[in-house]
Amino acid sequence: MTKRVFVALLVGALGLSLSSGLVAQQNVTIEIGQSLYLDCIPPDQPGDIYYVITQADIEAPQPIDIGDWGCNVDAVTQYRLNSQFTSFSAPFVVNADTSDFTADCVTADGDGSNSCAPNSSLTLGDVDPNTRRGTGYNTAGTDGADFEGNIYVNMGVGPAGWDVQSLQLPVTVTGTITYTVTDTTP
Amino acid sequence: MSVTFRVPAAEATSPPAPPLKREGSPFPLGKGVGLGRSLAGIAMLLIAVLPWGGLAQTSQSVNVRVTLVIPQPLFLQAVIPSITVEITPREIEGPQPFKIGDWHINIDALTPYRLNSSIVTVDTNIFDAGPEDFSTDCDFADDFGVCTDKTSLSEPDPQNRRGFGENTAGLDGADFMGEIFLDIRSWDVSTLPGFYIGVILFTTTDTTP
Repeated sequence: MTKRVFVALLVGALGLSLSSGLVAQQNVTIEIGQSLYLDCIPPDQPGDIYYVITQADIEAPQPIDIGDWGCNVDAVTQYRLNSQFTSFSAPFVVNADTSDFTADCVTADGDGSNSCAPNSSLTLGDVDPNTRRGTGYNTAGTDGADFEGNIYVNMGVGPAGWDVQSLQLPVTVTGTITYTVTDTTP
Repeated sequence: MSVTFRVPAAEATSPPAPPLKREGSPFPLGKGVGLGRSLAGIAMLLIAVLPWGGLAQTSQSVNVRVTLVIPQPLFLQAVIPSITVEITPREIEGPQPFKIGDWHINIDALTPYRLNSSIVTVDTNIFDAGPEDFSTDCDFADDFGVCTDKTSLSEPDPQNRRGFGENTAGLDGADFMGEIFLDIRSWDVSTLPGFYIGVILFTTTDTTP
């Protein structure tokens, strides 16, 4: 009786040993909730642009530079960067609209092999590629792709130029430029 | 004779810029998913939802506010500051009125405008001498400026209008130039030396309808 019990325990132990030693499994799950991150605050200045038009600006060759833009993109995909006005208000300046504003892209650093685009449109309602500021790729391991440029305004000249209504001084022109990164994976 | 100019006064206000807004752009996922659906129904639902989940990760947006402030749309500058004339027998014998000097105004504008000028008597000891003895013309205007043919320096607009113009952005400003004349046929000088001191005021006015 004692021998049977011993044998039974031995078989049971072998069985346990075999079952735990032949199969091992470790599950790995990586979740990417967001493949693109965008931050648009130019170096050394607030992200928003506040500019006062002076006499020198009126005499200067148009368009005039009213501020900088700068965006940092962290990406695990290829992408394009666009910007354009999504709202605009100039109730006391006849002939002013978003087509008077333009942007360029001056620098795009090497992080993510990004590059500037030559397009300049910021016009409300315009579409890619006219509003494209640049393109890039995966930036993993870097501090993100930096894009920088300038924003300009052309106040026109002659009868088609801006017509400021002096009864409303100081006149303010306001708008919102929306920067968007979009996955361009085919 | 002094020439001065007047510019509409205005000051810019500088409210603090609002903080940068950052916005994500998640696309809405599927709605109205019932728990009592069959397995086939759930499988179809997953197929439908996954592409939308993919789109939700493919675009990010950030807003930047742009504010332009225009505190003053008209700037006026007198290029020739003053005129001093001594009346000699030559002027007395010459045809009236005779030229006593030139005027030159430069205007930077972000609006349609008109240019007027009038003379105001400051002091004189000459009987019957006054603003109506002076007249002017406009001989030249550039950069969307246009001269008028009015000559009065003593009447209201439009008799004292020298010209008008439009937006001059990107240019060195509209230049208006002309001459100033004096007619002394009515003057009665009784105290020597006779003198007349006046100020010509140049004014630009926004003519936006």
